[in-house]
Amino acid sequence: MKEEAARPSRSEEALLSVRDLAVDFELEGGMLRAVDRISYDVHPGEIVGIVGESGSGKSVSVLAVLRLLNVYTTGASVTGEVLFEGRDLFELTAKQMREIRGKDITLIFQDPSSSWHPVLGVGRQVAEVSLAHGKMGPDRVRQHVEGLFESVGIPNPRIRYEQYPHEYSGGMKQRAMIAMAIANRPKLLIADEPTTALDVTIQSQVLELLRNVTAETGAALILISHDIGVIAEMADRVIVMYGGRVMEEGPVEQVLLSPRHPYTRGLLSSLPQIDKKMARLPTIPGSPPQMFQALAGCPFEPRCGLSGDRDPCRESRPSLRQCGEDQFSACHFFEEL
Amino acid sequence: MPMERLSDRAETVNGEAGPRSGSPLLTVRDLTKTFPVRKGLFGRPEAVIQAVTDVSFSIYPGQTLGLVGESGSGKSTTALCVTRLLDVTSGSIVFDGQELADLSRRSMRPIRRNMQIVFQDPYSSLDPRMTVKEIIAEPLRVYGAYGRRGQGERKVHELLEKVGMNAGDAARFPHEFSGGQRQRISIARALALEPRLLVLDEPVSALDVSVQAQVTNLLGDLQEAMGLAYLFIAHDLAVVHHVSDWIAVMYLGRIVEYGSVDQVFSQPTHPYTQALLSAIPSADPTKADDLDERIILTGEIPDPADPPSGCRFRTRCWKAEPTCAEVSPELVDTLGVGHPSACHFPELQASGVHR
Repeated sequence: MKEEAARPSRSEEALLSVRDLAVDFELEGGMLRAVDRISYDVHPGEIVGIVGESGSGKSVSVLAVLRLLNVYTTGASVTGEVLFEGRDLFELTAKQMREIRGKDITLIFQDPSSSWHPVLGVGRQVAEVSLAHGKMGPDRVRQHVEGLFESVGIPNPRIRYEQYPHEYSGGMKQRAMIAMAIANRPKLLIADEPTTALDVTIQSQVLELLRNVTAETGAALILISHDIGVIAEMADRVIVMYGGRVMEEGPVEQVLLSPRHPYTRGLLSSLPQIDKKMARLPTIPGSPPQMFQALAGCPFEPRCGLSGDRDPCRESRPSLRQCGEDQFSACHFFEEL
Repeated sequence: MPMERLSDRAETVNGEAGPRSGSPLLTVRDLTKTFPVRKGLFGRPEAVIQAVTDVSFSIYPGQTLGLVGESGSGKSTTALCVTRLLDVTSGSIVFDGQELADLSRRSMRPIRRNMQIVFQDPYSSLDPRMTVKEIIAEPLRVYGAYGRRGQGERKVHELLEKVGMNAGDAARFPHEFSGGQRQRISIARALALEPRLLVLDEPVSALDVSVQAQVTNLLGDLQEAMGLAYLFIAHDLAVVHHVSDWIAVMYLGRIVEYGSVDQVFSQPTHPYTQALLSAIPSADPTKADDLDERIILTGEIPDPADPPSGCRFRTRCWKAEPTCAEVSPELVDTLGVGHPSACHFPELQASGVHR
């Protein structure tokens, strides 16, 4: 693939390699392209942030990676290649996939209230994961789960084990979710807006926990968020998504301090700052695309100040080109920035 | 808390928020709102939730007061009490010289046209079966201000243009618009009766990041053009900092710190304000080193049905002492920094934090 040609050959050592991933949904009005041929790598122990607004394809892309988009109920068609430790996940049987999911790759969802079964004890739900994947017997599993609770900062694990989700606060539910996610010492954690539903003081607790957990277990983390601040303080690398595509990718400091894509640049400058007062915020006109078909050109073109209505932006797909040390931008004209 | 003393204190707030044009438009004193908790439909009240306790603040014409706090802090309840969408348990709400706290529903009606609310979610706050024109015209019709057909229509078109939309959008339905445009429609509806105070309850929180700035700017422009006063409620401190002249930080139903935006953000003296400010993740990666300096509060917001005695923040505070459990701290400017905070041990620097 052309896009990958410019990329350094780090991909051999990658834990997860996503290549040319595309997701289409068949809707009454036609096809909706939610993820438009994206590629990225996640290396062992690395924290990769995926930032994007609603409809950018950030959540759908990871569901597709985990083969959690049900083809029959959603009408999704997924193409591309996903290599996890060298194995193509799309080639595996459903059974092989189940062995990886929940063990080597685990998910943490946004909404701590809807992701738990309401009438089963929290401890038992966490135990289920260990029983399903581990060689642990039911006799030892409770001890194991209580130990996990302790390590994620849930006080009184013995009592908490028996309690139901409604007896947990939002922050505690998210801690229990993290306990479940690390129960089988995964190699890759995927957290989809893990703190969006939480208050800011609870958010900082949960982020600290995620940082510690990944540092201790050596797991890699894909952190999906719309909050650039969360990504900035957590991630090593950042992937900026818009309209189903990767707009920019690189080390988090580089991308946030010297963005080389007009979307990243516009997004960053539109954020109000705590330490400086501006009369007006710079804005990006218009709003993000919600429904779209596979575009010939750049999805950001209608809102882009740099494009200036130039033909290439409407007609040809900008490939992800190297624009700095280990930094890539999908803009035809990033040199002008 | 004695009323005179508190009002004196509120007047000692001398920030750099600009000249105060005359008297406040809205003055809230010792506002308290409790909700009974019943077991079953006819059960006796078993407990009382103190949603808002002794809250006092003022809003001046053309200025914005930002009300900040986490869930359960009572900021939305305060907004609903101020607009009398909820009855007040005790306290005083003086709007434009008139006491609202004990007005009947009927006598509240003519006043409500002067104070309008914009809600958080533009997807659920607009009737999907009404056209944009009907939505914006509704308050005009209710108050008999629609005028004759041509007049009313012209007003709707003017309002749409005021919020950055086109007259042609009037015939369309809410679902045809993006979140940002829907919030513009909500704002146009709120402005229809030319109110003097807008209560904005998380007006940009549900919007995409790249759209938030547009709506924030629009609110600023409208305030300047129309001299509107805003009560701006949000959990996003960066947004509040951007729009507000004054800030009141709430925790578990009480105001813990109150002052001009520059003072509260640059010289917070209450440990909760300090923790809140320190918890905001910064999009500036050069500040990543500050992570070691971060105050991470332990525990969670206590149950408002059973708030801690004394200072309500003490269960999460790193410098709580026995006196904090006994005496509820008053909102005073102990350090003489120019704005009050409700802490027995206020400090300019957060010290002694277990990090």
